[in-house]
Amino acid sequence: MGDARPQYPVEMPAALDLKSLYEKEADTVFAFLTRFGLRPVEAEDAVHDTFVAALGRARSFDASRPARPWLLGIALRVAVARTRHGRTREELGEVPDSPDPGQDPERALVARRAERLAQQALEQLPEEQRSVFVLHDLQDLPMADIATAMDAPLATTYSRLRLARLAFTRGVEQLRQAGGRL
Amino acid sequence: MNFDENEPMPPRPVELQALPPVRMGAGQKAMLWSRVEASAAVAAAATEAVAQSGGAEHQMSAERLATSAGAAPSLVAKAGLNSAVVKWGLAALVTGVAAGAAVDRYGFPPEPTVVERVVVRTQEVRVEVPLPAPPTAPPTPAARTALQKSEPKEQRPVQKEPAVEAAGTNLERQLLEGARTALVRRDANFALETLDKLRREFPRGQLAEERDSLQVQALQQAKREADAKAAARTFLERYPHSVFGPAVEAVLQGEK
Repeated sequence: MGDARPQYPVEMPAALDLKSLYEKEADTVFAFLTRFGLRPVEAEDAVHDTFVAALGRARSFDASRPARPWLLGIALRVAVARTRHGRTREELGEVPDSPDPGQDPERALVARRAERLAQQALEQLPEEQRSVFVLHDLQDLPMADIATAMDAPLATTYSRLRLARLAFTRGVEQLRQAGGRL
Repeated sequence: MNFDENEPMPPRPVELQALPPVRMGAGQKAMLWSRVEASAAVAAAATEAVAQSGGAEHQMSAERLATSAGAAPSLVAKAGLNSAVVKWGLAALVTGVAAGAAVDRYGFPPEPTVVERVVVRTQEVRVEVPLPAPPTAPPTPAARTALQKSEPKEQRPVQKEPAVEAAGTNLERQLLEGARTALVRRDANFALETLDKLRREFPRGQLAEERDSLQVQALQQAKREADAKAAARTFLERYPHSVFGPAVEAVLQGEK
């Protein structure tokens, strides 16, 4: 769509088509925000904010590179701004997605519990570690892209991933022990 | 790569497999897009006003405005609907210019902000915008008030589509709402910034009276007591029978 482009008076990346970007990437952004720890309604608001902010950051968009890391870098900042304002992290209530409804109820319950546990352990991680961890281990973003998105050196980014993996595994273990009876 | 090899990277934790993929429902995704689109349109309308009054030198926080509009879609839906066509491609100008705001809000690394003109995309988007509000006060010839802090730049002639012009009137209302909500969330600086913008964009605006009353409150909230009182006196002289009078007088009450 939009083939007959007029002349642009600028050095603008004319390729930033917000709508097709949204269509392609909204789910990924939503998934990131959810795993980062925002509740569904908040994650929706944050998706909105991310795309509006993306429009404002259009000049930093490089059409010759994948859009996802750029966009997730924005989503990351939106998410952090939201959690810093203390508007999230209320009760760890419903988990966003229930497992396959075709499963038998018992297994579904076990899966649901495991999911809740993992999500909770995730949300205990410090923001920076959590970001790298979610982006890399759940969303398969290359480390170099994450480093760019977070405006951090690559070594630091690796270090955060390492710490996050250790802390996450430890956290799951602790939660299992503490919450075994729940 | 200089990652410390003495500290081996643990494997990806297996517990992560417990987290299923997250996706939005199709309806949810479509609804959310319409919010994004509406916000982009608000930013575009704001951009148009900035373009009219000289462009990049204004630090307009359209992104914040757009975000609050998106957070409250009712703002767009409220006042009876009229259609306007705007180009949200232009939105990048204002939001790009507002890089300062973006830094505050999301901690983006700073970027050069001098932009002559930016267009992301010029496909037309049809959005719903409220009808312009009826005038609440006659246009005041002496609208450049004592409150005014900075002189506007010369007006640059811009060829406008009629629909965008309609969006301009609408923009005055939206800016005013932006200032009002900023006051409610006690963001006095943003309120002042927005009011300043309003005075520049609409020196003879239809909502000048309301705007000036908000100015008084914003100054008070910003703890600029002397300015607030001076503004309050000017306001009461200019609009002796204003419905906003009591709120403005309340500011002067603190004088004793």
